[in-house]
Amino acid sequence: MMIEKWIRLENKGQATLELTVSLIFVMLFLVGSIKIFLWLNESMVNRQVDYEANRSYAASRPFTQVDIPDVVQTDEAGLAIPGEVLVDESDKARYPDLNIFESKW
Amino acid sequence: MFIAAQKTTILKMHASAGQALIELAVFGAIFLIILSVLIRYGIQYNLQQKAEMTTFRRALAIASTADSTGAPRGRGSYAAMRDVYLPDVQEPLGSVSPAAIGTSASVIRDPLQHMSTMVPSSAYSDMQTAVRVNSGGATKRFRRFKNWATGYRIEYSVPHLSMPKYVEIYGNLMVKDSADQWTPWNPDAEMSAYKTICLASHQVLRSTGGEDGSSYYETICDLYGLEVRVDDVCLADIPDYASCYDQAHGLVDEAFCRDKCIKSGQCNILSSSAARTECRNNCTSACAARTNPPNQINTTYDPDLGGAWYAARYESATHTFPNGARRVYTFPVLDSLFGASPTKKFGLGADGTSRSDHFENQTFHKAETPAQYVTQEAAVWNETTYSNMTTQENVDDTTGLQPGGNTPDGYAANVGVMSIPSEVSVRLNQTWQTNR
Repeated sequence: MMIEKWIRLENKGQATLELTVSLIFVMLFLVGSIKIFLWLNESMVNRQVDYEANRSYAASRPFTQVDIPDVVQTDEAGLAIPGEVLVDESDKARYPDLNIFESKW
Repeated sequence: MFIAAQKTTILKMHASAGQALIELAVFGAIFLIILSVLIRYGIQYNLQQKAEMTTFRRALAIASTADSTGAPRGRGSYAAMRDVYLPDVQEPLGSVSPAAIGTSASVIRDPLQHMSTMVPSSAYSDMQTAVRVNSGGATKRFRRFKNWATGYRIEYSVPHLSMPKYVEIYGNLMVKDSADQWTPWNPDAEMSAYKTICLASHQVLRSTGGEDGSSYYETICDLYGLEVRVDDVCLADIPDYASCYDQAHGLVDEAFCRDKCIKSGQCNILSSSAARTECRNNCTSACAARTNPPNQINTTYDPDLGGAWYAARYESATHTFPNGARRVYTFPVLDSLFGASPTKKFGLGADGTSRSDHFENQTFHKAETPAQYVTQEAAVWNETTYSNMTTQENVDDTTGLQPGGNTPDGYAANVGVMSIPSEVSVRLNQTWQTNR
């Protein structure tokens, strides 16, 4: 009888304990995914805004004489076609690297 | 007995141990799969968006280039494919799997779309749309017609105090500057910047400053006359009756001009009462000014001043409507331009006439040999459809002067119908061979 009671006492709160341990990992996953979604949201929105901002400039450039090479290769700035207007995504404040351990918010 | 019961209890206890962990392992896995799939799609869309934006801009850059002869290319396409590694829950340990990000874009950029009336050296107006009519078979290119959304005309001796009304009616204006060049009108600029004549002046007695007390009269100009280039929707190659009528109405009806000005300036919804009053007062004073005739008091067109000829000889009568009495304006010259009622259809006529030339060149050969029986037939079949394009025949150059002999009726008669052939040619060649 004594042993039975002792065993019952030993197992009490096990579920709570397990949940506590596993919740830590669940929360880590959740927070990590939220960070990923925030990163996605920031880059997509900023990209849209930046492309819209220079849209009329890109579409109203004068027709310039350019030989388009057979093999198009991007240069250091990521530009391929002479005269193209792209958004500079090297600005880490607007286009941050994905880092779920760094807190900005 | 006691020991056996104790064992059973221990077994029961062990059987239920870790249940929460197992449940979490099962449901947590499903939860994690959903989360991972979402993350994968999120990253994929991010890359896809970047690729689409870049691809479009590259196609635009290609379309904005000119070839070795300097002729604008006007069209460009760009396609890009990139393999990326994305997190994938279906992989062992949730590692990455390759995914293809593929985009393509095609841009047609019209080299004429940036022609502007604000650039005096360009053609006389903005191009809004182009009508292309198929003209022929393989060797002939598409034929192109420009549809100028506005034409322009020049008014002389425009009182500088009337300029707000011109701006209200016509929008942006070009004015001859002191160097005899067209320049955008700037209400804040000094009059000396423009080419002016003095329409009204007064004299002031001034002292020469000498000891003899002699004096002279200085002429001070009160009203300057400007040379103004007006962008006019009524002078478009393919004008629209309603917008042209509205414009003529605004020129001759002060109340209509004011109502329209208040509406377009959104005077009544400005936040402060002072701003609303100022906005309305500006509209009132602008519309009270008179343009070169025809205007609110003079119905006669003056070729030396060059006013809105389509409003000449306008008539007005008061009609009673359910919501009150209103003056209704009729413009006989405008009506004759559009062919009275029903209105003349400007633009490309939908009803084409077609003429077919059947079997213009037909040959038939027959050859009979002991072995076979051969017939050979060749025919060329042509059909030409003529479409009508009705336009005002303005001079497509920088003078902007319309043919029509300086009279309103002459201008209104300046309408031409162009017959545009569209040829379709079918070639038929067939050989039949029958073996005996």
